[in-house]
Amino acid sequence: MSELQHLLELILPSFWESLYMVFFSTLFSVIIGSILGVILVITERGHICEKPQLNKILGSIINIARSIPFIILIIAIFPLSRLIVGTTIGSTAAIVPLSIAAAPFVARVIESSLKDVDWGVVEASLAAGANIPQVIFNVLIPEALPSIILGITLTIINIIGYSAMAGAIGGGGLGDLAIRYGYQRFQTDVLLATIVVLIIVVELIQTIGNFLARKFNKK
Amino acid sequence: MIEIRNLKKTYQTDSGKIIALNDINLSINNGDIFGIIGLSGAGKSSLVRCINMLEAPDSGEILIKGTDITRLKPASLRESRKKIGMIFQHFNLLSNSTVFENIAFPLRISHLPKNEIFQRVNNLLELVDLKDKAYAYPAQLSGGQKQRVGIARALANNPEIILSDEATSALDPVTTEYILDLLKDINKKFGITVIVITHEMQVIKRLCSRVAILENGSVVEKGDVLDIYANPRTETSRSFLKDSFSTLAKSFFINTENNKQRVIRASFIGNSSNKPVISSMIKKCDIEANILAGNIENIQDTQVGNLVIKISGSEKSIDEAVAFLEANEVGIEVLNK
Ligand SMILES: Nc1ncnc2c1ncn2[C@@H]1O[C@H](COP(=O)(O)OP(=O)(O)OP(=O)(O)O)[C@@H](O)[C@H]1O
Ligand SMILES: [Mg+2]
Repeated sequence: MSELQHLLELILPSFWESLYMVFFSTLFSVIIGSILGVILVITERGHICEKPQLNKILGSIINIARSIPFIILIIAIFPLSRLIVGTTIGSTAAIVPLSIAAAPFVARVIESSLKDVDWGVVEASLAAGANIPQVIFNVLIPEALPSIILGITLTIINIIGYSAMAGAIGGGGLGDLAIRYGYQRFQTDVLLATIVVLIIVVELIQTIGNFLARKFNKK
Repeated sequence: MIEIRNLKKTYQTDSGKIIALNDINLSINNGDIFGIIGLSGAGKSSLVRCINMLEAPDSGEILIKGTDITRLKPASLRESRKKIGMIFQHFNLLSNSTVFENIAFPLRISHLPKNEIFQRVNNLLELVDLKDKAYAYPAQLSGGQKQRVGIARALANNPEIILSDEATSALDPVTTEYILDLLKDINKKFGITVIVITHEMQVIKRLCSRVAILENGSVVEKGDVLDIYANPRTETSRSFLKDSFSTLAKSFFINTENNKQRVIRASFIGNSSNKPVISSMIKKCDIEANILAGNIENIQDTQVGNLVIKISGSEKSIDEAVAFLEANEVGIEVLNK
């Protein structure tokens, strides 16, 4: 009993740290990624704001960003993290590389969701006199919402994985805990406990995501 | 009211240029139901989509109340589009929005106040008889109900023109009739000009006062539906008029392989149906007439009688007889010679 209590005391602060990192990284990456994803879609040839040049450049940047290994990204981004949050270690500092790493992923997720929207519905709204923002916010996003929700669920789970890696180089959180206790001090129970917590969290998030996606899907 | 002049539209594809519209000229009167009929690929959709600039034409003008819509700036184009409702073959409703929200869509983007939207949508729901489905989602509706939502949405901004691209092609015959009647009512009630695209003659017959026949991107015939029905001048229009009756009439061919006999289809419209034309013809010309088949059709609320007549006699008197019928406003189609 006291051992369990000890474990909990050990895990809980790390858990909150992880939650903090994941929450804000998701928030920022979804904001940045959604903007990029929308731009990717509407600037495509034949879409509502055709700009092939811009579309190509943006696509390339996103591909490059996605091909950089996360661990390298974190280190490469140290100066930027210091500039934004004043430090390069700790959970707050980890939010910067996490957001930047996840944003291109979100952009592609949003892009593919929006591309699946029936073009006829877009045309119907254009025929009714809708302007570009109205098509984006009243047609594209609401019609793609279920698939966007699933995409963001996937993003959160990815960020949880990344945040464990960030922990390895001083980001704090569950990943950090697992490495310090499980790997460096051979406390297998701590390692196992963090894994169990992560499994539960991932399962929970996926379940909520599926539920919301189904709730918003009226097809 | 709508003047289309020298309209041209080409599509650039990987396999080369496709000329979809080749020098189209049309004028469509205020308050008319104007039909555009043609085979698949004739350019009907391209034409109607140019009218609200979903497709930009290569050249030519589309004057709507004197304004060339092809030259408008984006903001004025959006304003003009609000006065042109459009109905689609596949309905194109927002699948994650309710019936109410779908109809409210054009009003919301016009920033109408909430209570006015509520009022207007409810009136429209009543008009298309969908009050009980206001909070249903499109997936829960039948095809006919979806199209009624589409029509209500097209009417939301009190348009002056409605464009209908194959609005009934995905529907069964009974639902088709209902939708066609609804369009006709709307045209009568609100005086809205309706442009109907179809590949079915039945739609034109039921709905339209004037029609243009499109073939390979060109208008091959245009005019009053009744005139074209009585006197189809091109092969295309004849093929559209070839309804089940004409097919039946063709079965009389076999017996008439000589020039002492001629089988014709005579169409009696309006005036000519009140006169004893056939008996006068028999008295006047030295021929014998044998009525092989007959029917009565309703076109545009006008009764049109069709007779398949076998005329026997010398070639000269047969010519005279046909000329006599033509002089009496009877439409003639020679089924054999
Ligand atoms: N977006 C496009 N890109 C390339 N070619 C096109 C495009 N839209 C239409 N076309 C071509 O233009 C021609 C006219 O097409 P359109 O859709 O106007 O015909 P339609 O009369 O409406 O046919 P349907 O009855 O099958 O709807 C066709 O040859 C078609 O293949
Ligand atoms: Mg078409």
